[in-house]
Amino acid sequence: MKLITARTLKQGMTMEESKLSQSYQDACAIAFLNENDMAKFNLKEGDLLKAKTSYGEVVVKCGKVVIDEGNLLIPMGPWANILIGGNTGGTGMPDFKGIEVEILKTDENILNVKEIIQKLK
Amino acid sequence: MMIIKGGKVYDPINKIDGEIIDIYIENGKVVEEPMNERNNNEDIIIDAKGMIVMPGGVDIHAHIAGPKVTKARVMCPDDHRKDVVRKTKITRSGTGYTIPTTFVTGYRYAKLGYTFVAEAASPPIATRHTHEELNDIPLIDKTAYIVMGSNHFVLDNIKNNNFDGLKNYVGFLLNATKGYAIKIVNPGGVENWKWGKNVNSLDDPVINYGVTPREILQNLAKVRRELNLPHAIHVHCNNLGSPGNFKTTLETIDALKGEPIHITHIQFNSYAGDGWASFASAASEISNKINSCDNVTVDVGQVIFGPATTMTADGPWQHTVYKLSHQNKWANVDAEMETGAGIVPYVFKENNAVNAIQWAIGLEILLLIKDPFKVCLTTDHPNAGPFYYYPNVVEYLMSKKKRDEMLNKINAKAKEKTTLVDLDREYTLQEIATITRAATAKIMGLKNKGHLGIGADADIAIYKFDENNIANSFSSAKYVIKDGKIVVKDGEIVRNHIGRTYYVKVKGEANDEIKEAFANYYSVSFENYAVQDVYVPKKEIIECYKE
Amino acid sequence: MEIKNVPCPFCGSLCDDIIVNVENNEIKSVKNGCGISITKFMKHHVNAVKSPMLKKEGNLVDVSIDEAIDKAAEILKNANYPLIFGLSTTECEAQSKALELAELIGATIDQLPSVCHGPSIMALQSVGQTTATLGEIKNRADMVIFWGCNPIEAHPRFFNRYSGAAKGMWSDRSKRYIVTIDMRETSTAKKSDKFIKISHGKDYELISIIRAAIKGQGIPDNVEEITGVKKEDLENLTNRMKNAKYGVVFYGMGLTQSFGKELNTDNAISLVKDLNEWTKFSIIPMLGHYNVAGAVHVWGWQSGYPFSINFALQYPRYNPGEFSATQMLVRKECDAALIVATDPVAHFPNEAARHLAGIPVITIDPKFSLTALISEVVIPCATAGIEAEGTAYRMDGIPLRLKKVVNSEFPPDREILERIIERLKEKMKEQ
Repeated sequence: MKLITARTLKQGMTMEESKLSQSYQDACAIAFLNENDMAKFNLKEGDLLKAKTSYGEVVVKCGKVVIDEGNLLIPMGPWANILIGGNTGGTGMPDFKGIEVEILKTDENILNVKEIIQKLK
Repeated sequence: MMIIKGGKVYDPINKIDGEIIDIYIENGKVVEEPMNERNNNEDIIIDAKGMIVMPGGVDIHAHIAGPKVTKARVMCPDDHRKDVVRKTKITRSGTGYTIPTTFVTGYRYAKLGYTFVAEAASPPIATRHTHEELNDIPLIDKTAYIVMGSNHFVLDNIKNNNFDGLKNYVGFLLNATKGYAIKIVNPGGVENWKWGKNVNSLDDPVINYGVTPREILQNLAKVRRELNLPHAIHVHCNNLGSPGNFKTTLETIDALKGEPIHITHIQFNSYAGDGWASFASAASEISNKINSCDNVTVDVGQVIFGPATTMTADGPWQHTVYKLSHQNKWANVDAEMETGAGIVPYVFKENNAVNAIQWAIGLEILLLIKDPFKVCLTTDHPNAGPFYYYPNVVEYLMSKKKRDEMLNKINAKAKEKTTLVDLDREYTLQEIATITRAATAKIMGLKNKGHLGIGADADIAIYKFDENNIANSFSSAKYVIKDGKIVVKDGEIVRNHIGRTYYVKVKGEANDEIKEAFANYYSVSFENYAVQDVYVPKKEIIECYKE
Repeated sequence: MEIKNVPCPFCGSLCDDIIVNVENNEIKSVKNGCGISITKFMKHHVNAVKSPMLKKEGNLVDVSIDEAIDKAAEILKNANYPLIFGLSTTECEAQSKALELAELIGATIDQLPSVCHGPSIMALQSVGQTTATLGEIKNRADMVIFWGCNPIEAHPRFFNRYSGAAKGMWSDRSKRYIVTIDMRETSTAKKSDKFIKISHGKDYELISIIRAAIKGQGIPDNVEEITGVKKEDLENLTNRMKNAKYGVVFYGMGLTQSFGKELNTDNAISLVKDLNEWTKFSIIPMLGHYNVAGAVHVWGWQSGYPFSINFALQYPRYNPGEFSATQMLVRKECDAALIVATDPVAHFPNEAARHLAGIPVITIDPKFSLTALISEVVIPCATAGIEAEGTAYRMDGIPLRLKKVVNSEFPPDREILERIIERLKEKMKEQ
């Protein structure tokens, strides 16, 4: 699938409050996909899924949205970032939209922000 | 006290022509010679023996600050890479070339001996930006002209025959923007360009308003007089750049019926011919006209061969330049309710017939206008070339030999289509001092600039003049004194100094009509429009009326 | 006390009609703002940093501001190749001070375009841009195209205030044809007259086809296969573009972050330039953060360059591919970082954030950002536009004066940066 990261209203509002809040996690630790894709991966809304790119993997909640099949939308934030690489192709700009991503249903937990930061070191 | 001793002083306003006179400075002003002989160790004595002393240069028209200048800087990294400026213990770093950064602009003007520069075109709604940049231009004093020739309120009041409304609005706008003069660019044409059109004569109507360039010029000239502004309307004429446009320029002068007008970069408006193939000089027609009337002053907009960055509120002309320039960059900005702008990088080439003729026309005008108090040296920086090439133009004016050398080198059409080769006049130092400081200050109504009389600002340039090396003599002043302090010595910046921003205070304030138009048609609140005092930390206010 | 005409320091729209009600130095209510704006004002104190802090034995502990500034200066003095990043959401005066600091220590300085609209600026540098202020769109535009942007969510008041539904002098909603081109039917698409769904990553192809069509070339029969857009929709679109009296394209990160990046924006601007042979058309990038344009301007007039600037050679150099914050971090080149008013740990690729976590970091931010959590020095400041005055530039380059509506116990960014500069100069002399 193709990974698209993007700003959302909820992400913007919760970010202005606190990135350590549960509401920020709810707004950002989520991947939206097409209904057919959900069926294909045996997912329903609220399930946990693991997304994996050549740069990393992350567990987020599953959400439904009207979007073309084959696209996975994750709001910009610490969870999406784990999947994005630092290569900018000489432009300075990372590939925030359009890199290859695989998903599968999972039982693992969503990392919270503090846990993600722990892992940076 | 500072004393400049033994220099040959050129002060055209006070009719001092190369006499050896000592100049006394105290508290940033030129003062009288003390009655008693001084023996004060704290006096700073500048030995100017063998040097020439002039008032600090005053540039009447350059684009140094504001939205289009910075848009051009950001748009053209290619312009900067060949001209980098390292930081020093005193100065900030930056870049050139045709659009130097603010710090570098201040340093380079100061090194030339210039101490006052007018930003020639600020769009009112973004003039807060212009002031922010002016504050980052060190050493020199500065001011900004406010673009009005296609402003909604100007057009609307003229349409409604409401002269008092127009006068009040112009007063309000100058106060709100902390500007200095009424700038008119391609009157009416800038508004029409917002619909992709232009005006081609003084009587073409402005779309939706029906008023004409002629009416805009006449009304704003009258407003200017009644508001008692220090500088005449400052006009970039219609049809700028086009072959045959000298007729429009002459008509513009006639339309003013004796009201004062300053026509800027007139070189670009002195063209004969009916197309690029027959492009030729009309410098004689233009100069004769100026010689014969006393309400018109001009600056020249001399072409400098090499890269330039064209930028003007004349959006339709810039679209034409874009197509003529055969390169890929063009910026256009439509500024709501007020004006617009276009930016196109351009190269003036010696072997290009039109460019060569343009170069010659600028010099023709400078040589054919008899009274140097009517003509000012500019390059319409950076439109016809960077300002720091002024010394080269001075050399062409002072030396027929030098300019003929150049004339023989460039495209032969320059000889064929202009009269430059026949002009033998060579400028004197006094005349150079006139077109670079005395005339510019006088035309702008700057009482304490452009001369060295008692009470003048102690803004002074001292050069080591070598008649065999004229351009070099003026490109790097021996000393520059700003507000009584030495800021340049031997061509190097030796001191940091921040000059003042000049603006007028005039009669006029926002009425309900203006406020209502803001509420309906602007994208900013009326309350947030006027430039706050915080943006003019060092200022000089010219009061144009008494309460 | 009611404070009127307050510019909102959130997005690039910089709406300047916010009414803030303040009692006892506390914001009680906010009128006219969008949801994000209200949150920004009402919750500006939530999760705030309460004191300057230094990391001691692995923990951030409260210290005096003098101690924090001294430590910040020490870190920057000892760094060989420091990075200064952020500043797109603070006032111009701080952006100016930050550039001065970068010049002083030979740092690399970068701001948010390198992760959002850098490709827009790079396109400006290769082809220019025909653009307009937002009031001009409201007054004149009879055709509005939203391409790869979703203002209803990202710039919530933009549609009604400046573009889609705004009532101006010569135009209003009834005279305006609105098109949204996006890979999904966004809320902006739902408010448009026409939604054109494009396959992800096919923007460059679609723009090229439109440019050719406008110049009289036929639209290829397999255009739907290439771009996901129906041929008939495209014919209709190009006709309308050429016949509009005043058209405008607004675009967002759908163009700048997708495959092609600055080539997409370059092509979009070129399309709009082409259209000016027939009619009047403008293009405006939808800058997200409220003062990205400010740093573009301030750094533009001071150094000639808008972002990704390096001072290692004592004069400014510009190269986004080399000096963007992401690149500096991913290549592990910088050995210290000063982060002002932004949160790279939250918004940078994890790969870049990892290097940041391993070097000394100074964070200046009113809020406890994720970057603060990995910092050696954390200095709280007055929030620009709420607790501090200053200048900000709207996405279209209109400068506005930000207001101070409540007091903060901390100084504004510009003052903190100025104090770091002073302390650094003292330390440099001591050597």
